[in-house]
Amino acid sequence: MIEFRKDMITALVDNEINDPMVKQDVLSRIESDTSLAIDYKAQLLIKNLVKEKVEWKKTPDKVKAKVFKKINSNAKVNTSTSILSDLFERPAFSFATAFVVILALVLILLNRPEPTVEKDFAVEQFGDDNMFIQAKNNFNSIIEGKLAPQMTSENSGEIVKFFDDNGVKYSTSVPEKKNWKLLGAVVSEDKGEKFAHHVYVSKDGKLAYLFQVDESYLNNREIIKLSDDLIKYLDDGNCYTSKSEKSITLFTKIQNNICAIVSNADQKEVEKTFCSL
Amino acid sequence: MFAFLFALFKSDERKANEEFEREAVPHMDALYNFAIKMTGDSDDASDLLQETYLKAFRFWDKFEKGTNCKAWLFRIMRNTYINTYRKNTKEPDKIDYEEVENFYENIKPSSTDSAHLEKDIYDNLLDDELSSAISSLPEDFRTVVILCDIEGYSYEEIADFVDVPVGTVRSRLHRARKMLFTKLYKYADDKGYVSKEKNK
Repeated sequence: MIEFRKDMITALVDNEINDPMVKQDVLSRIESDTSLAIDYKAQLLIKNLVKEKVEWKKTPDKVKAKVFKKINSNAKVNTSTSILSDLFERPAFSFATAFVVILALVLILLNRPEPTVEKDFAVEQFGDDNMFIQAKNNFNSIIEGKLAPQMTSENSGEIVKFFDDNGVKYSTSVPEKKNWKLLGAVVSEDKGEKFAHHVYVSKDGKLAYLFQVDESYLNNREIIKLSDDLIKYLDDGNCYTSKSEKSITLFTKIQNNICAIVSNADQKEVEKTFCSL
Repeated sequence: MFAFLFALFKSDERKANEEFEREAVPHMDALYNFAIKMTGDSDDASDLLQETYLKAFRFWDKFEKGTNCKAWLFRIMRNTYINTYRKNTKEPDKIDYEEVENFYENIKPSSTDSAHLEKDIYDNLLDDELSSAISSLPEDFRTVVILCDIEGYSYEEIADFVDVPVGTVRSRLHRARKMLFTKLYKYADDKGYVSKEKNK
């Protein structure tokens, strides 16, 4: 017999049970079991209290103004088009002057170097205990068939449960991605600590391997390392991609986990899929 | 030709700004409320809101048009919150569920008509007291309570915001409300609302 999950009571309170049979089953259990009935009333009480008593606040005007100011100042830094438009609007400038200025700017723009000024963090990564190196090695082992998933599943919940059941101490995240199917997962062990890895496969058979580590492990550097510059870069909300001959290695953060994604798929596709904020 | 190029640049920029204004700005109140409840402080909430909108503006080209903009903004805010406020808390969240469960079972009334379960005894609680009880919940639990009970999102939407399966949202909500029940009962008891009701 399947054990009754008490959190189904919560789903009932929130009207989140779509199957009428399941709903009826939960209702019957509540009617026949006082303890479950008390849980139901307690859940309902709290939901209603929070809903009714917690005040909904409108964003104060001064806060709104600060937000807009910040966005506007950023927009001004990022683009010079507003300055250009001013040139046309000021009567002191003739059209010819504006034309010369624009011509100069366009020539500068056309001759500027490629905008790949991003630091190459890959050169800072070395050693067997480095997450970047480990991720690439693990991906190569998967491709060569030397490393197989310990469990296979297309369900993110099952994979998260697998990580929990197998001793991964940190919160893991297994996002489901459009055009990619989950394949399975591995829990590795290093100096007594367990780490979470999972694999996706794309429609055209390309693989993406994701290795996630709670930031605390990388900060104390006892088991696994990553260069401080790259950690800071990721902390600032950036996504880093490094391309090698056969694969793309991408680093990003999901909640407080640093994630390495290695894939043999197209760089743009990998970035679009895994570089999410 | 150059005037044409310039006009093209400008029209693209203007279009993106208009899109951002139309799609992202209307969600500011919802995000501000989320920020207030997550940080428990209006100044921090203001900073968090500014950071969130700035990041959203910078990465607006990465937002997939036609998808849920509010969910995208919530994800940015949550990640910004974690990165900014959790930097000093390097240990992963560990919660002793057994302890929470035992405490709840100890104060849980023995019948459904108990005064403990009547809304009246909690009616004198202030918004501040309720907000402070919510703020004291562990982050993962606080998030689901705010999104479900204050913002009114479905489990599926919350699962999308926080990148966890729907079952995890349900189980976190279940536990979060149990924790809140124990905290609010204690508040009401400390203030004498429970005993007054019992004597009626």
